[in-house]
Amino acid sequence: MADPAPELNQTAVDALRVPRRGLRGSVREFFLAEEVPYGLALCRMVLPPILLYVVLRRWPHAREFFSTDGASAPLANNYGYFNMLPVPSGTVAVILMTLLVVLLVTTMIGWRTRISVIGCLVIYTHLNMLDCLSTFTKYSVIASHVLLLLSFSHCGAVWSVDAWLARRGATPPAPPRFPAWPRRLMQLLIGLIYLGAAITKIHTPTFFSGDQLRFWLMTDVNNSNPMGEQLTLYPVVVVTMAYISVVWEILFVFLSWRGHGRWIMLLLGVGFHLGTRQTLGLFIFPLVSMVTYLAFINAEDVARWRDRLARFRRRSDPEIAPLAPIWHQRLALAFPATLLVTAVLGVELEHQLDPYGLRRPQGPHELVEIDPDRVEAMLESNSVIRPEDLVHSLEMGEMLIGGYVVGHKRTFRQGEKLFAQCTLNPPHPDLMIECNLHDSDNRLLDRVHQVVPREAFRANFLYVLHDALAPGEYALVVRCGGQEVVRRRIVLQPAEDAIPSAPVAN
Amino acid sequence: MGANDVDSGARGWLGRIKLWAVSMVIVSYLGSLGYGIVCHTLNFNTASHPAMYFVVWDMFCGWSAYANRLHIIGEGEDGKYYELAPGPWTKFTPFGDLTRHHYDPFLNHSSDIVRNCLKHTRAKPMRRLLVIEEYWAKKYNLPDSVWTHFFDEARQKHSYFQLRQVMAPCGTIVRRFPSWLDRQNQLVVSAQPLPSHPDSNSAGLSSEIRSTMRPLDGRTSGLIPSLGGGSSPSLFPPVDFERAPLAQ
Repeated sequence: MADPAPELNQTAVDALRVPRRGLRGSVREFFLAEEVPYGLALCRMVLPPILLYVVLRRWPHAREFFSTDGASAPLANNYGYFNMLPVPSGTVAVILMTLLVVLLVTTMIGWRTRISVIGCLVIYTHLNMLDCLSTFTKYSVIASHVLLLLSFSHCGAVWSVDAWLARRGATPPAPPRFPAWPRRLMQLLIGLIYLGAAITKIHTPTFFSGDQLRFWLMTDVNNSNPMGEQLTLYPVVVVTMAYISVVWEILFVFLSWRGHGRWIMLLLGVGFHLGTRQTLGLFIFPLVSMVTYLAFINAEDVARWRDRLARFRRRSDPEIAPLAPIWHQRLALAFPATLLVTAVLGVELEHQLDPYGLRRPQGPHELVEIDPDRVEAMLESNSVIRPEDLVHSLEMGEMLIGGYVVGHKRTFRQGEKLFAQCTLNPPHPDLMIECNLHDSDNRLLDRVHQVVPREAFRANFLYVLHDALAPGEYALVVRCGGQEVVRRRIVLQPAEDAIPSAPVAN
Repeated sequence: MGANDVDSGARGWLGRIKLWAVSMVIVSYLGSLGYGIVCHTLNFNTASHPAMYFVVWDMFCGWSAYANRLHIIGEGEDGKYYELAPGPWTKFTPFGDLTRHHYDPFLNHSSDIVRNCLKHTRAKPMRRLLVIEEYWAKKYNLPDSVWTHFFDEARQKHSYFQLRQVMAPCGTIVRRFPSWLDRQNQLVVSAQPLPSHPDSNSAGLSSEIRSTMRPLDGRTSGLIPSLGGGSSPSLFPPVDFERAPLAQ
């Protein structure tokens, strides 16, 4: 499973000299082969900006979300573990959020990398777990995993301020090598995440029928997703993508290691995540997930890309002079000083911002009064669902594929088949659904009813539009619970062979 | 034994300890991820501890056909009703355009949200605090371009409300009620029988349907044409069953 780039240390090389390595040797090679940690350095540089966007948006609300002076929502409470994690005071919460911002920046540039990553891991995870309503999600969990693995790694050994500070001569030293296991664990992490996601979908039978995905596509609890709403018109596409996504999620952990499989799996993953961005309105989750893909980049890839870039870069790399020794001592003090200063500034800034508005000239905010009529409507108990709300849609088309109507149209010709599909909103009781054919004068021509049991989502009706029906306008009328709930107009045209051919001009 | 031998021996010993430590980390990490996968697959212990949230990957846990919102309101002693969430100082929307309190489906944190709001505002004395859930069919979320594809009628969005929680003025929970959707799921199997076909009574049709029927064979409007005792659901004249408009 190992890619060819990492080079082995002497022990591993000795082990490789054995004609047949065996399982133990392969596992050893997989985890302990030494390599330049380019992939993890990329993760270290790309993840913090994404998390900074999340953290900076919540920084002004730190007191409200993460402190005893607000309404923190610890995740542990949902599991029955009350007071599992300490909830800081308002000022401490602001200090922690401020430190988190600074540490994310220092992680990104690779300054005091190990301390920065560990600091990010502890503060980010702790604060996240204090607000399961508006901060903690599955992308937070994945980010915590990535920070944990980065804290074990030497991700600051290349492309970082630390690497620059470590230079002692004018010539850059060869990049250091370290065992590959943190990168391997990150690769396995994302593979197992996809496997778990596939298991979730397998546990959800209505995922494969496309019904749940369609309802997800029209859910607006995430960001706007206009493409997803349009996609509800094409349920066969949705079902096909559902199957492809599950197959890809299962195969990822097996095929993403090397060769063409690696690129195919990763490109499918990028397409999948960008698709969720467009169709489901997920913004941060795809970015955090794709950060782990950087762990699949090895030293050989970097060497190849450098060669390609070198063709376009004629001038040689500018030499970066090493830092004078005295600056090493100064910078060693600069790191804690930066943390201290920004923490103090953060507390002062938050005080000035006055998030609750307590120090405004007009005093604390007044509560917003609600219209009494609105409240009256809210307090009305109306548990009985209207029949029209039981029906999700009425679609008409020329055939059924995968249980869905396709070839949507409302103009038919005599002799054609009309498939009408009435989709229902679960939960619904056992229902008697009528799908009747009315003429343009609203006279009933054909009356069909069907029992739809509570577990069914759709009722299908097939009309053969016989030439006994005169061309003209008709309507399909769905009745539910004795009440008309949907009416759709259709146009019937003469059969094609009944149309006289047009005169041909000579 | 020279100094170099001692150094190399110590380095080897440290190297072995390091190797063991690394192996322990790898095994522990993969073991915890594997435990999460197994628990999730077998639906076992998935909610036994908050740490399980870090190893169970249930990102697609189902979506209902109804959209919902939470309204947290306070009934003042002056008889007026006040909005308690979001607080009047904020309009923060974490993931889309919904404020924070909407992401609390189990109402585990509504009490803290209410207390925080009352603490940081000039609130009037309250008589009781209410959490009300609003539901509507998600089809009303669809844009017009999609709606017209499914329906000819104009949309008439209708919301269902359900009182979920009653709190004392101090924020202490007094009563909780099941969600509207849970109640509907129960009604489907317990309280609501198979709705009788309103028009299937052989004695006649409803006046609504009767008025729409086309006179056939000289009969007056509203009479059911004889179908020869058959059980065909079609009312179209069965001149040719193979070619008649037929619904299945």
